Amino acid sequence: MTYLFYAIILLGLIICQTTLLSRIPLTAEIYDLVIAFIIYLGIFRPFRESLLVVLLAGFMMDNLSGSPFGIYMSAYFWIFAGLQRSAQWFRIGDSILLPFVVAAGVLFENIIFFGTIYILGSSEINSSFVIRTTAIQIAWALVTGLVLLRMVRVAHQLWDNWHLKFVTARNGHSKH
Amino acid sequence: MFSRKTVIIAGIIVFIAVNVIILSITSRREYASSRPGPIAIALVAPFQKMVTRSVQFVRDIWLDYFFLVSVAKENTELRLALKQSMQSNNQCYEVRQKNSQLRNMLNYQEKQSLNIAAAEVVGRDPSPWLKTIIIDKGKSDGVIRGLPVVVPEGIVGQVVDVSNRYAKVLMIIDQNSAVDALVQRTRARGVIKGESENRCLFKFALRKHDIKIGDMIISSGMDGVYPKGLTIGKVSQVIKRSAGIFQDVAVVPFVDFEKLEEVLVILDLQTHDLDHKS
Repeated sequence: MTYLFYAIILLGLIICQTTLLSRIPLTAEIYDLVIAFIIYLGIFRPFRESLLVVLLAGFMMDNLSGSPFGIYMSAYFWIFAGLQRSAQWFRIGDSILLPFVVAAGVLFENIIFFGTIYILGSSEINSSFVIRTTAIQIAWALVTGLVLLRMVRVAHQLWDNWHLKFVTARNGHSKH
Repeated sequence: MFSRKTVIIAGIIVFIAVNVIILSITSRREYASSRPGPIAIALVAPFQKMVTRSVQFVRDIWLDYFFLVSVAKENTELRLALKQSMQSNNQCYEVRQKNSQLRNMLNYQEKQSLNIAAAEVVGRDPSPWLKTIIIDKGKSDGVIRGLPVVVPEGIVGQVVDVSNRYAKVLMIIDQNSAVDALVQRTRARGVIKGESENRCLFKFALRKHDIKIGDMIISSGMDGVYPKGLTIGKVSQVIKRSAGIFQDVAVVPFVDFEKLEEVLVILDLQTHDLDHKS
């Protein structure tokens, strides 16, 4: 059931990003919302449960985007793995730090994109566009990152509660 | 022999190296050959279409019922524009008739009209670095990889990935896109390349060619993808450096890529020359 929740959240974020936010001029250059979800998995969920979801999210985004294949998968995996490791040493789940963690995740993804498209892919660099877009994304991440993480966390708690009630009710019903 | 820590660090380094090599290969390969297939498009696009339709429905209600104040004024302006367009259309008709007569004289063969499929834009690229859209026409509608996508204002891009009912289009403002093009006035040739923002570059145009700000850029038909004569954009900047054989030409496309909602896919790849069509 947890995987169903992850699938719904992932689909919701992707659709929100590719159909709703892209239509609004103000939010057209917003950061990759799936990063917030990957950060949630990296900080608050176990490695084994989340790894498949992280790779699947990367696979979906790689297919939907016109990017070189594997770029999202790589970015998500390293963000996830880095957070899983960091969470063993630091308390990065604190509310004060979370917006900066999301911003750092966005910056890291942009570095991977920048490196792959411009350096490995040998496309020409439009530095003003790169700096402006990255700055806008980081600003968005600092403002909305914490809210998005909280929303995913609360939604997951509600889902778990609902699932527990559902299972309890079903077991009670079957005993009678 | 080695401590556990050393093995882990070595493993991570190898993993990073493999990752960089894979990304290096996929970023240099042709778009379509570097991906497994349109699975995600087939999964996500129906939901994108549903949300897009819902948004359009709400917007249409707003525009049709709550936004009528400006409609009367707009109506007057449109009537005026229509009169001007009718005059212009008449002139165009005359030119076309004359053109047709001249072509007949030169024994040009008239080809059948373009086979076109109208499609709706249901999704956009999740990354601002890349410029692709997803449309609601796919293999079942006759769409295949490589077909040109246009709107009345000009070229939109090229189909790069197709599922049964949806397709992904690489727009001409993407850095991976290239369109063989001409300056309409002087016939100077070059290649239109995307430049991330809503702007293109007209590359490989020789310095000796006369290109001015405001010149119209059209497709040359030489790339085997886009029919000849489709409009692309207007020259917005020309820089002739002291050295080099080429000049730097910036082009602003006629198509507003931010507001694309419907596009046309040219299904018949064989009919390439728009000049040949009546």
